[in-house]
Amino acid sequence: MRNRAAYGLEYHASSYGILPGKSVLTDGGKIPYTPAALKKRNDNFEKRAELDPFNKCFMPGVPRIMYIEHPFQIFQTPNHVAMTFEWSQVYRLFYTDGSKHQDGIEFWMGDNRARWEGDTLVNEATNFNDQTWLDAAGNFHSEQLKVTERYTMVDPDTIQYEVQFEDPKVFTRPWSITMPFFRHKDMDRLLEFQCQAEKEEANGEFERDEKTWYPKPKP
Amino acid sequence: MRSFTLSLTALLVSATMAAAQAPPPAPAQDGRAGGGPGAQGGRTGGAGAQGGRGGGRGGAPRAPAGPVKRMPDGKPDLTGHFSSDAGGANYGLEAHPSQFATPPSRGIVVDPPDGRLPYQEWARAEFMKRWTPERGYDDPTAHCFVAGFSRSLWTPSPFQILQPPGYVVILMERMSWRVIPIDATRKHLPDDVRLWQGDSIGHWEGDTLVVETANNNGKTWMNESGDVISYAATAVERFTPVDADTIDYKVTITDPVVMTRPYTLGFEMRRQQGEILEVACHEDNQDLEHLKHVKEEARKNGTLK
Repeated sequence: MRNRAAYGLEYHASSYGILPGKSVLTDGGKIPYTPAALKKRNDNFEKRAELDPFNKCFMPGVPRIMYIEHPFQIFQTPNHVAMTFEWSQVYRLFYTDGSKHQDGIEFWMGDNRARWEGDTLVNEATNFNDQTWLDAAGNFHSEQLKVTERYTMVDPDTIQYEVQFEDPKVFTRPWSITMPFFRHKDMDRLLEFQCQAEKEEANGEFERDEKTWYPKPKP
Repeated sequence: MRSFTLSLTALLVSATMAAAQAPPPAPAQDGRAGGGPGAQGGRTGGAGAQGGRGGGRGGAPRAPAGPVKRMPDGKPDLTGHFSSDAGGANYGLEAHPSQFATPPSRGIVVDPPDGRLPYQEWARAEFMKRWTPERGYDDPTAHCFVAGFSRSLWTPSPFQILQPPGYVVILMERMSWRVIPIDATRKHLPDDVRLWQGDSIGHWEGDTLVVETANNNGKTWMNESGDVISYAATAVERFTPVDADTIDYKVTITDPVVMTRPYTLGFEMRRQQGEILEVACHEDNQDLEHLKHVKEEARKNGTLK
């Protein structure tokens, strides 16, 4: 990822904690919120430091996990496509075996059923809760969110990623974003970023065990 | 992988379920797939009720499974949704009755043959200190951190094994993963790069997947009772398919900071019906404040070990 979608999907100037960026909406425009939802989005933005679930190390949800600037690795088997993420060892598992969505179970990361349309992998993610945001600018969704992702290799090292959002409680019509994913050619494995563990080590909630932890470098 | 389209020509490999296993668990009552660490009594439960996953001690007798399945390249097919029949290892690696408010364990120590871990004296004492209610807060899984190496495989929550070309990937329902490259040319990470899951490299020895792991950070406990592992631990795991639904698992751990000699743990992994779900532990952690309170009270009273 080399864009600023993590900070805001719409065209936006810089502000505290938010780096500036260009719109990643396919039409370059604004998210078609209902009036009530737009008010809530603006309120989320004002209180983002306190309200953003990502700041609590909660799972980022979909598609935010795809553009938070933590790398991921993609694996393919006949019946699955899996993605493992550096961020807190979250993963996504797409079923490509023709199976149906789970009934009546909510997921932070959605329930993912994918298929091939020519050379494009099309994934439908549903069964979301209403707890995740789409970016750090307070853009949000309800539990009625349906995400349709399209992954297309445009050259050996680039995936064009397109996402359509449908959520009748929050948006007046479907809308979409698009961005490229670039292959990391200089990495042969993911490392770990453990959001909550590192936070609690820093604030003293999770105490170092001198006997078992890897020794600190000697001064 | 060069292109998504590669898999279109691959053979379909289906995961056959054992006929007589327990049914998949009911979702949590509130309809969420998750469930915090306190939802199932233990701190590291899966999305379903504990014991509801089948394959556990005292479970229904299992129908005989077919022969080991093969990948197109002839290697055993380890793929599918599995759960470890680890007999309460999450509450103690050695056999023990229910005590200190933890469930019993049948023990998974296969070497030394007497089932007792070859603890150094200090480490045995440390384990007994940890195995107290007031130290429950110090178990990393009480904070919903990843269970780490190799505990992730015997927390009572299932996992999905994938075998994409060149890798074995294990996705844990309790939201963590291990990516194991099958690559003899791969070297471990620099010594000062330490991870919760360690750094794993695999190779095949006949029908056994052998995985060598180093670069552990020593932050995890081996279970809720507090069996001790350190940053010095290196390990060799052996995944050997027994039949189409069973993998024999052995891990030999060398940990010169904690133990007097290497030791080996072993148990079977059994194929499960249905799909793995998603445990949202940290997002729904209702236990930690209570455990913190218990620890703080003990510290105040001078009884904290």
